[in-house]
Amino acid sequence: MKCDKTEQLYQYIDGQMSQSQSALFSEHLNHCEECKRAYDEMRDIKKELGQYAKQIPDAQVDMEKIFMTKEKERRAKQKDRNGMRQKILFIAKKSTSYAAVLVLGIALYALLSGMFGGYNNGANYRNVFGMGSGAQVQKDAMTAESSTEAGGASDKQAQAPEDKEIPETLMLSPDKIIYTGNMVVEVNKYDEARQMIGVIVEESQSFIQSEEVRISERGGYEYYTSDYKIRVPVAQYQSVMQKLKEIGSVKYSVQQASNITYEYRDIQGNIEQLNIQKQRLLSLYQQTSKISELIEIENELTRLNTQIKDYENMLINYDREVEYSTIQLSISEIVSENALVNPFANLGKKIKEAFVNSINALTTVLVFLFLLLIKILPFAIGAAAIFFFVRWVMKRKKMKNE
Amino acid sequence: MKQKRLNTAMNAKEKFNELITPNINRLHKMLCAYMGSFESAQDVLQESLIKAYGHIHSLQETEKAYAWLYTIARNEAKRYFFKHPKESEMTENVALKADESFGRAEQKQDIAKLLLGLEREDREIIILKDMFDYSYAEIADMLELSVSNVGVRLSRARDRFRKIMNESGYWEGERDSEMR
Repeated sequence: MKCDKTEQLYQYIDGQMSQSQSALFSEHLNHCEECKRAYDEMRDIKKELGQYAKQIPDAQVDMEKIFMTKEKERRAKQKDRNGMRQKILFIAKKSTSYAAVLVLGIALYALLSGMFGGYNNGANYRNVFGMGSGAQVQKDAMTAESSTEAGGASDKQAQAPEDKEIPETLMLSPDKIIYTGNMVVEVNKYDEARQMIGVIVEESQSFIQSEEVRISERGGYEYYTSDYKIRVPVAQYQSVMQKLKEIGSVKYSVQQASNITYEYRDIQGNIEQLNIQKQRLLSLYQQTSKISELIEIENELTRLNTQIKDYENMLINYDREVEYSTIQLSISEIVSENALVNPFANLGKKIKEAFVNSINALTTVLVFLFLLLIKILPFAIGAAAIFFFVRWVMKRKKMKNE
Repeated sequence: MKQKRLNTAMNAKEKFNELITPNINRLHKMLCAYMGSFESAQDVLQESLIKAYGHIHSLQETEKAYAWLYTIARNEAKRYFFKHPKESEMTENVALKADESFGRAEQKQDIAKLLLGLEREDREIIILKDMFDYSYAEIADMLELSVSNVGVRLSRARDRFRKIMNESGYWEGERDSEMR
């Protein structure tokens, strides 16, 4: 049999019952074997546990340690916090200086590139200018060269370096040689130089095929440049070159001699061949009476005539090229460092330019920084997430500890 | 500023000595019985007292200092169990200490061991009520329960403990002698 009054029993034991209930339950205890037994057990347990409690040795507490620990912890915390703060400060300081240097560097770079951009452009322009005349020379030479190549090998293309005169023998040889000269000369006085060129051209019975005058600018100073193409009788070529060199200081000079004898003879041979063919066709023409044949022969004759004419023109061209050498001449005024220059010239313009340049540089830097910021943004978000997560974890850990 | 800090330090010490110190020995014994090891109980006690001293300013209801201290110790014990899952509840330890100090040890050893056979929740409330005879209200404060809840938990714990005691044959000898 199971008595369901154990809970009441416990209340009875613990004195949680009212007096009347208690009396009632003590009556029950006298009758209920099970409750009586449970009551005894509980009494025993209480007794035993009480004894056990007394048995346990007293606590050994180091009160001093307890009192000290708080102080120590507080100090350690303070220290920690201070250390952390100092560390953060240190890093912040350092990174600030780095950031400052970075920004400064970028700004400086932008500024300088903006400023030197102008100068570079000027230099580039100069180069282009110099090269331009050079390229033209090459173009001229090309016409000769292309025909040379068409004719075959054996072209004796001699490049005469500066100040090395082509030997007299070469000039007097019956070979067909095209001379081309290319020169860049800087002159002190542009107008005088032009006059001198006119005199030289006249004296040598040459002619100016083309002249191109340009106004260029360097370092804020305007100066004139001219590109000439002068055709010189071949006999006068060397002396004209020499004279032209004397009008100023030579910056660049190239002489070319293309031997076209082989091509020339080739063309002559072709013409002879075509003439023979023509003679034959003519005799055929007289013999035949068929109209269709006559027409065919005539067509062929026309074709031959055109071809002969072309070749003859070629020869004439060659003859001209040989007879008249070509000199490409570029002259430019010297913007001399020795010359007295006015630093205040175009001051207003310069100020404006400088201002615009720095404004441009500034906006460039700003745009660059803005783009940088946007570039960094994804990383920054990630970093921030990690930072806050770590902080959260630390906080939680701290909370747990406390 | 320094004076103020000194004052608060003094106050904290006084407060601790007045409210906490009287409870230390009892708490220690409770922890021993609860944890089953003198050393671990000592550790937990030390930690609890450090924490109690550190937060003594947050103790408002001074008449319930025992309950406040007990709550701290309880959390510390939990932490200890969490940190040392294998070391916890080494049943031999306390019993051995008991052995040394008392001649008639075997039965005591048994009840200490059997107590550790209980779930921690049950063990705790048995220790509080049947070992140290705290009132229902006091236990309610310590365990942060209502009084009626304490009654329910206690009766369940006692049922289980009695069952364990009976199964272990703790009372066999006595019964036998009674029968005779």
